[in-house]
Amino acid sequence: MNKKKAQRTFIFGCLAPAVILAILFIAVPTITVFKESFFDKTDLIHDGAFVALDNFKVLFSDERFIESMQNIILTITLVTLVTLVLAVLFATLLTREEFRGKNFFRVIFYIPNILSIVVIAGIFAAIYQPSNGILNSFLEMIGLSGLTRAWMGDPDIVNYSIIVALIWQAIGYYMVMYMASMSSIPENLYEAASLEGAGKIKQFFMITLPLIWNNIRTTLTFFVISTINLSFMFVQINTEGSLGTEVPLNYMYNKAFAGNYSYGMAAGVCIFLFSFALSGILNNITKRDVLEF
Amino acid sequence: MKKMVALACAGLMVASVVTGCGSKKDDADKSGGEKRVLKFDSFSGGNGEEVWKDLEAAFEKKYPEVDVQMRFEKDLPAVLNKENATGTYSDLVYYNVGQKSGFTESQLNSGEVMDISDVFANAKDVDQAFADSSVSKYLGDGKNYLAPIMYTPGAFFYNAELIGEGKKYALPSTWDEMFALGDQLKKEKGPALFTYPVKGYFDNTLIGMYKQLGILDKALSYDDSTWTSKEGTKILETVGKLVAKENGYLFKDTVANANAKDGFTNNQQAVIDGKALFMPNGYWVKNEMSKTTPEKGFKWGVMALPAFEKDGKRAIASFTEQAWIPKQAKNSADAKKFLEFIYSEEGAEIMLKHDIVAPVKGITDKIDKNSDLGKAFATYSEKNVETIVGASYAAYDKKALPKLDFNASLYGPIDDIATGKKDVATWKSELIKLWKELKANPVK
Repeated sequence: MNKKKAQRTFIFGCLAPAVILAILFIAVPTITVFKESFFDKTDLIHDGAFVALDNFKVLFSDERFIESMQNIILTITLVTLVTLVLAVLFATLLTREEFRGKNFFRVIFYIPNILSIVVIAGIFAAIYQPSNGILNSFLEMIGLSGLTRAWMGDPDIVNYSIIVALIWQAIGYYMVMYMASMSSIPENLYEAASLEGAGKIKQFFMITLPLIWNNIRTTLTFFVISTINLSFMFVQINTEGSLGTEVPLNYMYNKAFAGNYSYGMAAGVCIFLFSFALSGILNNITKRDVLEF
Repeated sequence: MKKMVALACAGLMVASVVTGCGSKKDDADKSGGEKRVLKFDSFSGGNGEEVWKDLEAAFEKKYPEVDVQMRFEKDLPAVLNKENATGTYSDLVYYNVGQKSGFTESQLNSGEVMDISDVFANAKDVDQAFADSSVSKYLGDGKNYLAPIMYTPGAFFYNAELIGEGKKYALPSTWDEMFALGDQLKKEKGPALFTYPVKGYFDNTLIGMYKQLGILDKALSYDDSTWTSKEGTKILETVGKLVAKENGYLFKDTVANANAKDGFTNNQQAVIDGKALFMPNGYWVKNEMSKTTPEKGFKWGVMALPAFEKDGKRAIASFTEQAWIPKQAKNSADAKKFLEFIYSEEGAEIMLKHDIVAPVKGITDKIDKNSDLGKAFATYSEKNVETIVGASYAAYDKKALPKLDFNASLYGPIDDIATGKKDVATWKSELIKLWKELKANPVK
């Protein structure tokens, strides 16, 4: 009994710091955001009156906020789909195939991930520059000058230009995640499959994909969170939300710290619930029996 | 026993933290006793830090008992918001109205900016037009809150080696001549007529146009007739004609550059490189672009807004920069002295050494007439030119209008017109609605 008690105290002692930090820096601020969204505070300092759901009523009639939500849904969908496919493809190639310069490619793919988003914004400003940017110059060089565009200045494509930059940034990170779980798949499974006559593609769909499925599910939540965050930073640095590129976090930031604190917090609550719900839905619809080796 | 030791250690740690804080406070108090600290927080912008360091040195020489502690921050609102939330306030802040963050406006609206009317009563040299300007008396209650500390002509900038008397192109004096020049450029496949760094640079262009057409007061006070009137429509149509995609007057990369990181410098560079002829800007552009400006073949020129008819009125709106004192500043007395120092002969001369012009009487006589700065300021006294100083839109109740984004609503459509996404008629109807909302919600 005494030993059990000591064990419990030990476990409690070990968990306490993490729990206290989580409560202090995650739970309390989140609850505060919810609370503040029911007031009409202009900033952090001055008190405001309780206005119940007024902020939300205005928010749902705000075209700019609705536009920002539409943009983020488009961005999350495309970034997740394209990055997932490419990252899994590259990860398979880099773990399953033997070719020269494998390590070189690993590094190259991962580099964007260690760059700050400010640097990435700078890189893409240079790539997308209309007259002497890398992309348009390249298109002209290979005789496709008909395809050159004002990538950041055409309302019809500017959102896609941002999405491409986000995908470029994300691939390396997810590729490394998938590689980690792929390399733990025992080689004998592949050997057995190939003896049975399964080709590379069949092996991928029958062995690799099912065995990294749990990993993919986890990353789906990361996709939602990181796309919401990074699209904010990218938009804040580049377009500042003009030309129909507004994203929810940028909108929230601009409202919360420019005299409409509580209104910004209401937007924050919506973003929180949205990302929470989306992650939950993704998690549920991708639920499969966990396969183990 | 072990428990006792652990407890004692923990107690010691807590004590050291507490005493650590305590001793720090003592230090601060002590230094406060010897020298009064003046905490001056500035955003780090186009004018650089040198001018402030020179002002600081001269001020400390004059008032040896004051220690000016300068701080420059790229994102000043973020820093100050955090500090204010913990009860720490600057003594003097240099941050303009009209910024995207709307920080200064928020502070004004929530009554956190000190009434500094006495500074203007004491500073004998200050140009009265600035002391009485709507930007200084921002809240419209007759009191001064913001101190306009420098100004520059916010007009059309161009290459004086390329345009002007005896140069390749003649300087247009009316909008008709301006567009005729644009048509000529299109015909000879020359440079574009116009570009803008980012849409917000139209602020002084619009204000200048209000003045030219006699609707300045109406527009700034959100009068209902502003945009339904003949004059208001003319302004929107002129700007629309200048930037609309189908007209081809605008440098084609303008919007794409404006929407990329630091891309506004590419638009400014287009004027330097001769790809576009005119742009709205302020004199700081010379300093900002000095590294990529060739020594030969380029000289900054400043032109008042073209007249709407032959020999008609032209205008230059001055871009002013402002400093203010937080209401909760600990050392507001020295902050006021610092402002008075900027408005003194000595302070203004220090600023002038850095090509920065303070709004004091007779300062323009001290500028070398042959210098670039002298020529830029000479446009103020050209024929038919009216000047506007420190004009600002009336304060409105931000709290009542959470959806509203003033800058995005007023200037945003310029980008949209330039990309063909919107037309002038839509811009007009949006502005009519916007003005109605603003009029109905004055600051409380």
